[in-house]
Formats: sequence, structure tokens, C-alpha cells
Amino acid sequence: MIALIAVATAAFLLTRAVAASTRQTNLRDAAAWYTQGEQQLHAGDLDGAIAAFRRASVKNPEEREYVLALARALAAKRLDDEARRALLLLRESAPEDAEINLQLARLAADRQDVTEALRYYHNALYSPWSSDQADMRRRVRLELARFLIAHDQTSRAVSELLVSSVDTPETAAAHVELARLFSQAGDTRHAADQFASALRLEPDNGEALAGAGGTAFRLGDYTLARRYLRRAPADTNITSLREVADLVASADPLASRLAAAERQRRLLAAFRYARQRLDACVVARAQPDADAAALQREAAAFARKLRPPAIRESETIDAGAELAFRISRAAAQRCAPPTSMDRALDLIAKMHGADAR
Amino acid sequence: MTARPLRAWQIRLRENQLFLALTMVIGILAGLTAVLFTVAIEQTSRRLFGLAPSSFRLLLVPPLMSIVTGVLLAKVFPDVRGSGVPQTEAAYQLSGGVIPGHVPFGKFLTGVLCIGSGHSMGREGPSVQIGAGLASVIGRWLRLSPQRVRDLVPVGAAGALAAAFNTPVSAVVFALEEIIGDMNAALLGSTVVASVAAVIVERSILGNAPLFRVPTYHLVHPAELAAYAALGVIGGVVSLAFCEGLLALRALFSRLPAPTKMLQPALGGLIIGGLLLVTPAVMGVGYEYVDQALNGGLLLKTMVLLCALKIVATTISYASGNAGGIFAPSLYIGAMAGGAVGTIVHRFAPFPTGDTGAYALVGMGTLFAGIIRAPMTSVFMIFEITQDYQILVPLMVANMLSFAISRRYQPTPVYHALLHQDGVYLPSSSSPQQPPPVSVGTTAC
Repeated sequence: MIALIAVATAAFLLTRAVAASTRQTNLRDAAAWYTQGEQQLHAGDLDGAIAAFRRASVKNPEEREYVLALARALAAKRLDDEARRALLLLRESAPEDAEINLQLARLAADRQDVTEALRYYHNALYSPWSSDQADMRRRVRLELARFLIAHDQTSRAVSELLVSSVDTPETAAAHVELARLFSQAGDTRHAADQFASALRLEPDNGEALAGAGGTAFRLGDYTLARRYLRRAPADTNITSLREVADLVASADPLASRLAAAERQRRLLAAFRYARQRLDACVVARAQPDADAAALQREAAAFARKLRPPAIRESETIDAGAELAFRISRAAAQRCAPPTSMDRALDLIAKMHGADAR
Repeated sequence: MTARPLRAWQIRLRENQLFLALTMVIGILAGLTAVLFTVAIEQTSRRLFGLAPSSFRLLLVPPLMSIVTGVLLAKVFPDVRGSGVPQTEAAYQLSGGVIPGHVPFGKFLTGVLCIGSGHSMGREGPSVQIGAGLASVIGRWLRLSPQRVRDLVPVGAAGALAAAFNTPVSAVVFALEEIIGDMNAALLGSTVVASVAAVIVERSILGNAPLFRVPTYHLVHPAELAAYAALGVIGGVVSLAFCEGLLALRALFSRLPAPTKMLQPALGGLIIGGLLLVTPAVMGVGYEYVDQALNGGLLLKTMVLLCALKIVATTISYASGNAGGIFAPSLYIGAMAGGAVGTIVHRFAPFPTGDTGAYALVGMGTLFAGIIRAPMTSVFMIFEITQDYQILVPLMVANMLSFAISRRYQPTPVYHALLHQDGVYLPSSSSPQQPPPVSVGTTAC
């Protein structure tokens, strides 16, 4: 019996040595397959890369990089199920691995599984990241925010963006990127703040100027919008916004601190424009329109009041502006698309609460 | 209690304790040889084929190596051809558990060369024979009683299988169901001890990594049971095709003139070399591809092709007289057949279905039940691999159907039929005519 135990011990040591040698061979083979897979991936041979990464992960299943490379290649080949299974098996041994969770989140996002994608994105974000991966973690959060915006979960997206804004690097590009996401999520105020931050760093940044102008416009600060938009590189959208912003600033008869003559001039101009627009519209439509006819009659009756001394009275100014807004809106509804002046009058009406009347 | 019976009782107790300790040591040794066998096959294959085998190597390595093994199997170790499981059964049931000392050594050597050189065969059957042979040799070396020597055969077999397949429970069930042929055998305790000892040794050397990456199993819809039943029927038919093909081809080889016996493995090797040129995926044990089937990594047409080619390759490798088993090939064929059925069900079923990997997994058990005819072992084996109770019902449905079909159309289990071809009839084997038992020393399954 003692001899047998001695034999068993010797056999154990021998077997362990042989197994260790085989293991070393397998590790070397796995590394060679992985390198080959990387080369094939760079050469665009996705099938070859998958085969090589698969062999690498079979030879050394404990090396997460091999399995991750396989999963990425499988996902690129749209073999999502197999990629997911490989990642889930890998995750069993490392449930808090950020990269594994991120890959799983991306696969879930690709198949529009919002619940699973959110779970894995959050797992990835709350995983331990090394200090040199801070930017990577921020990028993952922005990726999550984009995913949430795409799935109309804007309040969740804003939450993620607010967290992200804390560690945004001090570069104009980073602030502009964040501002755009805030803007897409419908948080114009924070978007404006981020554009402003970008402009503090790069005052002539065209994207930041256009974005800041747009957000100021949406927030109703047309004077600020004009200032930004005038400096922004011109394109169709910027030109249109700038025109409307200019009109809002120059055509508002109800603006504060206006001289009486200027207020009367603006009212007359707005009223004249609205009447002409409605008349032209009615003619162009060539169809009986009782509401438009009633508005035309009301405008004709009111036009008689737009002379001294009645035009000097604030009630006349208010009533005239309100009628001009209504006529302009009616014309814009009947003869779309609205002109820049239509839009400007509509915005002026909203600014003064006239649209509620 | 008087002094004499007390002393007799003490002697018996000591003998029992010694036997139990011996089973543990045999379990360790059987486990070690199984691990060494596995590792040696891997190293041999790596050295013969290299990292990425060229067409030249794929074509020529199997026949050239089979010339060497052909000589060894014809001249030096004539009783170690084939699997090793039927020989072990025969040794246990006909020869009082006596397995000559050269058998485990010869099986190890020829098994490593045959499987390592690309023959489509499994390592579990040879491991069983090596473990059982080692146990028998040790028992006789220690001058144990003939009954004790006989009892050690399934103990060694269980230990070796437990280590070779990393499934201790199904190794015990296999020893009872297949080797002993009695699930109520008194050797249950000894086989459990050996099996556990072997697995501990195996895991301490190779680690705890599972043999396969197994998908999480879910029965998504009750109607899926019908799909698993269909898999059972298909599995039964495929099992029959495999067994009949194997037996017919082996009979054909055995009718060839006696002087060609030495060259028959090389002829098989040449055909295998040609098949490896078509697809190296049928090479050797092939668990890498089973793993891919389990994880949805193979296309439908690939799985169908591999299922067919593996049947062809294994029957040629085995029938031409090489050393290696059909345990692993049956799992491979089952995984491919199951994966193919799963893909079709997944694509066309009007109800939600589980992953194709789950079907591949059940397919493995189904083919094992149909080919090896050890239905309990197959259920325990898949259960041990998955560690998931949910898989039991579909697995049992498919296994029983496959087993029933296979038994209905081929009453003699394949291991027994292989023995019959060599003129060996076990007391338990079902056969219309049972000639007198033949010594196990002449068998070569």
C-alpha cells in the first residue's frame, strides 16, 4: 500500500509537470492565434479573425481579452447571439468588468432591448475604472445618453448628462458635444450653459456660436441670439434664425422703452404686413373663406383707428398689435409655409402673452 | 460474542477498510492516467499537426501514424483496438476482472497515437479500459482475492471516466449501468470513492474550467417538448444509422484477408486524411466544435455536414481497427444533430423557442442514449454538465425516445454487438444465440 501511495505521488508530480507544459504550449498557441486574429481583423478578413479569436479563446478561455476580441468580431459580423453568450459566460467570472458589461450593453442596444441595455450600461458605469480611464467612462455615459435620447427617455438622458458635465474636460469640443446632447434631450438651459462654456474657451468656435445662438433663440433671448448668430458661420438654418431674430428685435411694437413714434411705426408696419399677407392669401386660395373675410372686415374697421389721436392711446396699440398677430397667424395657417415675418410676429405675440388671448 | 467470531469480524472490517483505501488510491491513479492520457493526446496532436495544419499534414499524418499503430495493434497489443469499454465489460463479466498488464500500457500508447494523429475517436472509452486495467493489475499485484480483483475493475473504470469527462456522478452511474450491468450493485460505495478521488486529482491538475461552455437552459414554451420529442426520434434514427454503419463496416474490414490486418488502420487513416482535407473539424475528439454548437456558433448547414462527416469518420476510424472510443463522437454527433434540429425549430416553430444551444445539449444526451444505450448515464451526464434541473424533462423525453427507437430496431447494444463480432457473448447481452463465453484475452473491440 505504501508503495502504491509512493507510485501515486510520483505519478501525480509527473502528470502535473506534463499538464503544466501542455498548458504553457496552449497559452503560447492562444497568443499566436490572437495575434493572427488581430492581423486578419486589420486586413478586413472578419471570418478569419473570428476563427482565430475562437481558437485563442478555446486554448486559453481564462484570458478575457481573447473572449472580448471574439465577441467584438462576432458582433461586427452580426452574430449577436453567439457574441452575447460568450460575454455572458465571461461575465460569470467577472461580473463587474466594465468592458464586458459595455459590450453586453451595446449588443442589447443593437437589438433595441432598452431594459437590458440600461442594466449593462449602468453595470459598466458603476464598475471600478482606473484613473486613466476617466475619459472612457465619460464617453460611455455619453453613449448611454445618446441611447436614451434615441429611445425618448430624455429625463434619464438629462440625468446622465448632468453627471457627465461634472467631469467634462476643459475643451470647447467636449462642451459642444455635451451641449448638443442636452439640446437633443430638450434641456435648452443646460445646453446654453455648455455652449457658453465652450465659447469661454474658444470665443470664435463656429459650432459653439451657432449652438449658443440657437439655444438663446429657443430661450427667447433674441438679442443674445442675434449677437451669437451674427458671428456664427452662415448656413441656411443660421441665416433663417438670424433673420427672424433680427425681425423680432426690430419689429416688436410692444417692446419696452420705445419712443412713441417708433412704437406707432412698428404697429403700422406689422398691421400693414398682416393685412397684405391675408389679402394675398385669400386671393391665392380663390375659395370662399368666411373666417378670413370676417378678419378682413375687422382689419378694415380697425384701420380707421390707426390715426392720431387714437393711435397714441396704449389700448389702441395693444389691440392693434393683437389683431396684427391674429391676422398674421391666420394667414400663415392658410398659406404655409410661414415667412420670417410670420414667425417673428408669432414669437413677439408669445413673448407678450398675446397668443393666449 | 465469542472470541473467534469477533476476530473474524475484525479481520473482515480491516479488509473492508483496506479495500476502501485501495479504491481511493486506484481512483487517484486512474484519474492521473486519464489526465495524462488527455494531455498526451493534446501534445501529440499539437506536435504532429502544428499550430495551423497544412493540407499536406492533414492528408498524410493519419495514414503514416496508422502504419505505426497498425503494427503495434497487430503484433504487440492485439487486444487494445477500438473503444475499451466492451473489453472491460467482458473482463468483468467473463474473466473475473483479469486484464493483462500490457493492456493499459498498450491502450495508452496506441490511443494517444491514434487520437492524436487525427482519427475521429474519443478518449473516454480508452480511459475506462486503462483505469480498469490498472485496477486489475494492482489488485493482482497485491494478491487480493479473485472477487476483490473483479470488484476493482468498475472502480478503476469509474475513476478514469470521472477524470476524463469531469463528471463524477455519471461516471459512477456508467460503471454500474454499463460495466456491472446492475444499478443496485454493492460496489456503489467503492465507485463513488474512486470517482470523487479521481475528479479531485483531475481538477487539482487541470483546474475547475468546465469541459464545455454551457448556455443557460430555459423551456420557453410547453410546446417545445414536442420539438424535443422530435429530436428524440431523429436522435434514435441517427443512432441507428451510426451503429449499423459501424457494425457493417467493421464486419467488412474483418472479412478482409488476415495479412491485411496490420495495414487496415493505415487504410482508415488514409480515408481520414482525405476527410480532414474537406474539414479538419472532424479531427480527433472534437469538443471544440461541440462547444461551438452549444453556443450557437455554427450554421445549420455546417452542423448537418459535420454530423454526417463525423459519423463517416468515426465508423472508418473505428472499423479499420484503430484504438479509440465512440463516447466522444456520439456526443459530437448529438450536438450537431441537436443544434441542427434546434435551428430549424427556432426558425420555423409557431411558438417561442429556446436557444439552439439547448437543443444541441439535449442532442448530446439523446445520441449517447441511442448509441451507448446507457440512458441513465446520459441523463446524469447532461445534468452534471448543465447543473440545471430544468433540462431534465426535455432531456428524458428525448433520451427515452431515442433509446426506444434504437433498441426496437437494433436489439443488441453496440458494445455487445462489437463483442459478438469477435465471438464474445456476455451473460447479460441480448442475443438469439449465445455461444460459450470466450476469454477476454482474444477480444479486440
